[in-house]
Amino acid sequence: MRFWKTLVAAGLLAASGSVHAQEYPSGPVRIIVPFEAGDAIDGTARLLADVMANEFGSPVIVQNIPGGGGAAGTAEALRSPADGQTLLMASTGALTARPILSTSGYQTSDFKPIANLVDQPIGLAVAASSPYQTLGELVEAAKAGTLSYSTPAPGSTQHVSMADFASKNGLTLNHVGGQGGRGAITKALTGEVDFAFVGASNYIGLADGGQLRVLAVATPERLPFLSDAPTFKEAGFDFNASVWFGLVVPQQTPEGPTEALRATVEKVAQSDKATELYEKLNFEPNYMAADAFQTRIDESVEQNRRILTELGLVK
Amino acid sequence: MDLSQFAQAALILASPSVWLWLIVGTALGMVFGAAPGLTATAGIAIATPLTFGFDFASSMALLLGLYCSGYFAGSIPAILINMPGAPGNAATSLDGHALARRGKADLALCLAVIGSAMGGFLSILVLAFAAPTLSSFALRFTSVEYAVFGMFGLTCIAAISRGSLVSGLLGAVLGMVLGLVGIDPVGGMERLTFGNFSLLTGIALLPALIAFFAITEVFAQAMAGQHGQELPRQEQAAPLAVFGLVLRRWWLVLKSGAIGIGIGLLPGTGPTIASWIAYGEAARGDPKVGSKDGSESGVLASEVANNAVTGAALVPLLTLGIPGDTVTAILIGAFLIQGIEVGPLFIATHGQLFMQILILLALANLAILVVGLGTRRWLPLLLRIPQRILVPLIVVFCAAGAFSVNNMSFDVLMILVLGFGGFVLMRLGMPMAPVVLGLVLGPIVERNLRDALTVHQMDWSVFVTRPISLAILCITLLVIGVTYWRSRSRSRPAT
Repeated sequence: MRFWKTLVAAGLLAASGSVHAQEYPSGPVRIIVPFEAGDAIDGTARLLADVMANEFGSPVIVQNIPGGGGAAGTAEALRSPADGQTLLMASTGALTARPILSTSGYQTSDFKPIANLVDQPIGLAVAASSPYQTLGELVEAAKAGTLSYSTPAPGSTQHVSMADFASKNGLTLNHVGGQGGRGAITKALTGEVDFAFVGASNYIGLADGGQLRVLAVATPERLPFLSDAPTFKEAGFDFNASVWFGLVVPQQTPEGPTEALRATVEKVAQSDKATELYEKLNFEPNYMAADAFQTRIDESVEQNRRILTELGLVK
Repeated sequence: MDLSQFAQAALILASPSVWLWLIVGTALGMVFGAAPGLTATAGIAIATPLTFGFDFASSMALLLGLYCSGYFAGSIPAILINMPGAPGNAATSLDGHALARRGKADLALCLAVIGSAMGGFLSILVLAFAAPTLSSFALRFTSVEYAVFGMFGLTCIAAISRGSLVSGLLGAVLGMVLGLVGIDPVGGMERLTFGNFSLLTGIALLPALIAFFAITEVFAQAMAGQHGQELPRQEQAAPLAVFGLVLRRWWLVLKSGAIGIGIGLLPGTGPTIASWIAYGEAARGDPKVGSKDGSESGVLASEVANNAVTGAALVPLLTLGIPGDTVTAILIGAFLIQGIEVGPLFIATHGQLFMQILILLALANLAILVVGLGTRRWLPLLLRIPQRILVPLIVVFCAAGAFSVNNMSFDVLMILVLGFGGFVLMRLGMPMAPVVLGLVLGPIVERNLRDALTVHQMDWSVFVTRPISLAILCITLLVIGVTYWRSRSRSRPAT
């Protein structure tokens, strides 16, 4: 049973203090997930770990180090030996916004990319009882008065990008964090906030059940699992936003293991098994090789710095 | 309830794999629940990806078995060595360990087993018959209501700091201050971290529990030295007699069950708050609860409420797709693996699967009874281990437990510091329970108070203009008033 294998592997990992790598991997590989078990990013890592373990022929362990908006686990990845045996499952907010917001123990540039894995498109939804039928109506209301909205957490990509949208379109919005995507949706359902802005896949059940209305998704095309929801573009706003999850390693990791990891991840992340599993969990598989991923990271940093400066949240 | 659907769902009972996984789940739950630092939440997170190849019933058998027994099993170390295995069992340790010190560990364990199962069964009834109604009630709770509800929870301080209300209040304030450390949940800024980024995570509840309950106890034992108090020989309890004892306290069971169910229904809460509030309520009715001798009622109230959360937390999950506690949050993934999107349509379109869940929950609670009562005889043998061997063992377990929460060695250092600080404060007469309660409730009150004011544009009147909030505030004032009046009439000399 895999459970026991994982336990044994965890033991091995603890025992094998330093590893002198000739061939890669030279023992169990560990993927640090800087969030709680059960989050979307955790699902991504666990699925990939399974496929990677088969490819490597050695165990791949997912370790959750939650807290501090992803800062604790990210900092821990940087403290681990840079030998390629420890990878970080980076998310937009933890890798590119947190170091701007507060002391975090790391900089975005302390890591180098392996590959981007999946994207989670973001959508805007209101409760069924909400007076707003279209995005246009909601935007008009937020120009005339103040509306409130919820995202998973302050400083999250969802928060930063909606704040950007608001400042570009002259909206007045109050933000509250929902302690995760589902918590943010709860705040919209109870009528506490006017709308939620979280990962679109979170809406499926409630939208089908008629308790939520998804007014718009921030993607170039409509989403297959929410085909009734128009895009921001259709409503006349040029606005895209998504959360990405990808693998990175500390900058000091030697070339050998880094290249080996890039080659392996390129293969497994695009395998049929991984794609199928990701689609089952309503993630959008979006493999990006290291260079493209680095460009994306740089863009996120730049965007976050600009918006957080406008919001007065830079440390 | 549709009987033909029920009959069809009951066919899963004929499947050996369902029974097998239920037993495996229950056994794993016992381990994850009892080991400090590991919780039912962690167990389910690890087990969920393993259910890929499973059919629905087997997957739920494993996960629900783990869920229910995991919530119960934290009471075992809470009673035996004053170290709650999970935050939801912290209130159990107060009276449970006091009973063990009087040689009644077996009685306390019986009470925990039977109480947990009863709480579980009560919550299944609610899930089966009132799920849609109750979920719409839960949706009337916004930050405003959560904030005042948290304040109501703080009235328990009076009940759990018998002897000295002042030191109890000080302890709660200390707990709330500890709860401020880390990233501010509303603004996203760092607080009280003194530039140390390991503190960004904040002080997690589990390491704090280990520090304030187990480590302080270890220090106390070490101070007592050679002449430290060995526990007396343990008496056996007869389960049937304990059943009778529980049934005579039917009002307490119903009340604690209702508290656990009510809190389980509310998204974002969980067993920790439920057990403390039920315990506080029991203490108001019975002066023996929380006393040095310990009381059966205290153990019973905490454990009934703790496990009454299980079925109730599934109500918002299965009717709205919104988790009631941390375990149900992970269960969403388990449903997705089965290709099921939980939401408002789940019960209507998957009625038979809903029945299967009810049946499996009932079986899981039966399993707690069977396994719990079956193994409890051997558990107090742990207490025969001489203190000079047991205490170092506990320290090792504590360190491992603290490490395993976040896989950070910093947490091991932290339990040592907090544990020593707690020991000094305890010597100065400060009870530890209010500190933990402050750490649990402080962040809830703070976050919701600030969120409520943010969305209502700093208008404080919402706390009295919203009916549920006003009602909770009135109850809070009433409780404070009654407590004050009682303590005055008690301290007045009887003439």
